[in-house]
Amino acid sequence: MKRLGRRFSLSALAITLALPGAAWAGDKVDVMADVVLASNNGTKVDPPALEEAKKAFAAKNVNFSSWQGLSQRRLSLEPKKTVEVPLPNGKKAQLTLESVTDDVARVKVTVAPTTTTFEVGRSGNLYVDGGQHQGGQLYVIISPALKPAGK
Amino acid sequence: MALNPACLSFIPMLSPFVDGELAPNERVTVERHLAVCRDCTGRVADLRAESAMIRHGLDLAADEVDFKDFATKVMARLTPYKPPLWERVQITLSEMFLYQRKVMFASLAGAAAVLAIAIPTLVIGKSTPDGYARPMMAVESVTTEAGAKVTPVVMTNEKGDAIILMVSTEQQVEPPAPAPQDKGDEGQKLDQTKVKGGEL
Amino acid sequence: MATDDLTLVKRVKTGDQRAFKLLVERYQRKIYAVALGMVKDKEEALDISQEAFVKVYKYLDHFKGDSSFYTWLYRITVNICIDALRKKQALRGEQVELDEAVKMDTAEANIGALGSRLGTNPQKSALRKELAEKIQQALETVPEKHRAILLLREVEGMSYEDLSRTLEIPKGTVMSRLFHARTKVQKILSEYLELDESKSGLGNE
Repeated sequence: MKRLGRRFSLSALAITLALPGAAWAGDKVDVMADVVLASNNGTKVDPPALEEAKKAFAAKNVNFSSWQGLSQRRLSLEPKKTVEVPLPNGKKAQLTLESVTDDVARVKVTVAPTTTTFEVGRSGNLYVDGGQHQGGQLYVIISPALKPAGK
Repeated sequence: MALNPACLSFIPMLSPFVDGELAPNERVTVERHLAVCRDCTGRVADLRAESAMIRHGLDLAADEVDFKDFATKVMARLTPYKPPLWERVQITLSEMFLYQRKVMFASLAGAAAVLAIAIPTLVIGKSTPDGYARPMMAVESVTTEAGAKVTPVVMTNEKGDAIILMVSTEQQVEPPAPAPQDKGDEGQKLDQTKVKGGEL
Repeated sequence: MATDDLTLVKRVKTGDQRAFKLLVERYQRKIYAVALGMVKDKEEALDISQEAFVKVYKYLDHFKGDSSFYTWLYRITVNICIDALRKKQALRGEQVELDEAVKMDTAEANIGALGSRLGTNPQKSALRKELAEKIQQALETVPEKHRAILLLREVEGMSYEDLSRTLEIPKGTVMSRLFHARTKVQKILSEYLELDESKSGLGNE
């Protein structure tokens, strides 16, 4: 029963050490930001995950036969701090975490001259027009980052 | 119907035969037997019919389901709203056991051991990421700078996706028909630059 | 297809939720079909299907990529189904089904009649409408583990090798369970179809 006592104290220790860390962990909100080039040059969809983008656009009668991923970043947004994602046509996407209220994050994304404010959710992608580039159209895709980074 | 004793050894082989899982030499042996045995040929036909019936029956049932929102519903279930720490411990414990399919510990010693494991796991690993209480993303507003030459077009769907297109509000100014085109490319470019001034 | 799955899995691990949605869409229908075959109830099968993907996502870190993704997905699905079935049995006070030591039943009804009556194209069969129901009824009489193998084989077309890996049983066991499950289902289907030799007079031709 000594072992039992030790186990209890171990777990108690674990709680007191770890609790402040996790339950009230950081005000950072993570999102994924992809820069992609949509065009009608060819039919390549790379990576295959962009099929979803192709379908979402096609459903709205905006048809691009080719979707090419250019970059993917995981952004950790902190309140009021702006993060920039450069686009190959010289523009940039600026993301700012405006607030987190009741565990709902409000984010602003600006691709000049348009600013979109949205609430982050566990599903649903935001496609922001990034302008023309190399005979196609750039889009910045903001999507949820649900898994912890790394591993 | 009398069972031909010669078939006895072949009957268990018919199932893997139909599945194409027999070694080449075994397959040949079965094929030779089928050539001379009407009963076993009938058995093979029965197996194939049964396979088809199962597949088709379930296909029909699957056809009745609209999977359009299935993936969205799965995503919405992925991370439930974060309950208080103690409740989360309970959820993780019961789920751990369900997944491992082991018997729940009744003894205190067992529970304490599990707790010691569960709490560090919880704390290190898998809590809901901050800010993700909403099941679906939602656009609140879209604005453009004053004097911008584009207008945003917003398209949404029921899956929580939103597309923000930027459509130019400016007319493509066509150079008046005869003269500028004769001037050649450079002349035209100059015109266009002036016109498009502060745009995109 | 297997490599494509692993590529998607890697992306999901880095937080790409769209990749996961693609995986869901790729397998949703078949997972549902298997779940339906196991538990018979449509609502429950739908719920179990969703749960399977949720579990896959949650425990993605446990998936090492040394086996194919889909055997892991199916294993989780089958386990959830078996647990659901056992819970129901426990509530009903029924005995949990053990692995039957099935002796080969040599008294078959009407060899070849099933095959000839339906052909391998069930669409042409007049029994098409009742087909799904009959199948479900027949499947219910098969022990759950045998049922799982049969469903994975027929719905997903899994090889014996993959079946062995998915259900973590030796290949020989796969073969014998499949054989016994099929024999049982065949008999029951024949009975439902009332292919009584004397009544229908169809014979083996």
